[in-house]
Amino acid sequence: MDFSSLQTEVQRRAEDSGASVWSAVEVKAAINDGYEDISEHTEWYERSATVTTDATNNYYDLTNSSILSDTFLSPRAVFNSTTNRWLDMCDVRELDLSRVQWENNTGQPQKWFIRGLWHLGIWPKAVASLSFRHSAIPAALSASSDTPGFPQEFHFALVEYALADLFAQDGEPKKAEAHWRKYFDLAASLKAFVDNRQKIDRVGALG
Amino acid sequence: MAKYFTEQVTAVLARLGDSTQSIWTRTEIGNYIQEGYDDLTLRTGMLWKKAAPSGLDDVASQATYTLPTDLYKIERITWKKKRLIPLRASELQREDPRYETTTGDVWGYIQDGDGIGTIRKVRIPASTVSGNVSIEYLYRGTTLANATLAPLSHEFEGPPSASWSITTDLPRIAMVGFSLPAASTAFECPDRFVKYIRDYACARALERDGPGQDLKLSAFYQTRYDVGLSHVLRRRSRVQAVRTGSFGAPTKASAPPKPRLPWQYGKVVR
Repeated sequence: MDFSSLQTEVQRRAEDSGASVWSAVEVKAAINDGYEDISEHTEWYERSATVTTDATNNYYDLTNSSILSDTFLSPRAVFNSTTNRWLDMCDVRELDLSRVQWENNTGQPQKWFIRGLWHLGIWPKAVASLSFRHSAIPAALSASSDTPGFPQEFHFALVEYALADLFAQDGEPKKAEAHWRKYFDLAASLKAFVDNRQKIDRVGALG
Repeated sequence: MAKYFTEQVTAVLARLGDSTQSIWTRTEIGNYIQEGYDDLTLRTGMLWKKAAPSGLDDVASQATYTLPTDLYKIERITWKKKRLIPLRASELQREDPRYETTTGDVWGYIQDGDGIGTIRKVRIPASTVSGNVSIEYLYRGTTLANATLAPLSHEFEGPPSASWSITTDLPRIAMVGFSLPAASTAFECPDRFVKYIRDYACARALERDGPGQDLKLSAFYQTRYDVGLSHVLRRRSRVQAVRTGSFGAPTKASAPPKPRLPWQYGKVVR
């Protein structure tokens, strides 16, 4: 379903096809809120970004607009395009145990770690171009033809979320809760789909 | 794009259907938003930073230092880029009874025994040096404040004509107006977390006694906030998910084996 169809469906189910209770702007905002929420919950959107490191810093703020803005969710892998090697993920404690003053070391990055929720750390430090694979929040739907990036079987999750949000704004908690539960079930189904998409091919058989 | 405090107060009032502030005031909603921001930050530890505050710089013969006021929890402190060992006062008393007077290179610190917000360096620095200490910690976000408006001054080049003319009069008169608002405080968390804070504020506003109370709707918003909170908490564990190992996979670095005697000296061998 495209963005326009999602809006129409929300208005139809809310019995507000004439947009007399909720404006088009409110409906669009509610759908995009749901898109953002389900993307965070399921992490279906995976992408790659280039992080350019320098020889003076071990830490990089991934929410910096020049790197990822604040769409970053969780990391997957890091590839050093300069050495053509994947970096190993480690923990700061490992570095503290094995290399006492590791923050002073320079050289092409070999290891990476995350500090807090959105700070990337590397060891050692040098000018390098890293390909950072991660899950992220996709761009909001704007044009009428924009379509959510996950399978269409789960598009109704956005409709349910929008209805829950709009009914809550209208002071109708029972309706809001009912639609919220449906949204939650669909989001859980999408998460299971994303997490297990390779499961069938990887399951072996005895004999 | 950052989200700002003032616009969120407006958004919450609009969501509650009280843009005219007949039930809830902007101040009250602002307090709920601040409360939600602090709650989310404290329970999730989502704000992290690395800093070298001057208040922790070595001062000769000074043992205790005041931690940054926005600090929740310390994750790591380094001295000359070496990690300091976090100790308890009871451990230190066994290891070095004179730790309160011994000077030398700093190798550890304790947080108990000198009050909340204070650390004691072990050993006491022998000389005053700046830039030795770096601290990585979870912190409280900046206190949220509203935007402020200030009137612009205005000047007239001459009295306006009796009948206004855009071409002759307007260029001679500077328009009176207001300056752009001084920036309202921006939330330091990602934009998507701000809606959880908004839900928290709605839950609190609808919960309080008086006109506008709606406990069922408040419970709904509280549920949305709790779910949002779980998302953020899951995020912290998710960033470590890549490290899950498997049998045969390269293991993390470990300390060398402890020395032991080659035979069971002193034990009865049957």
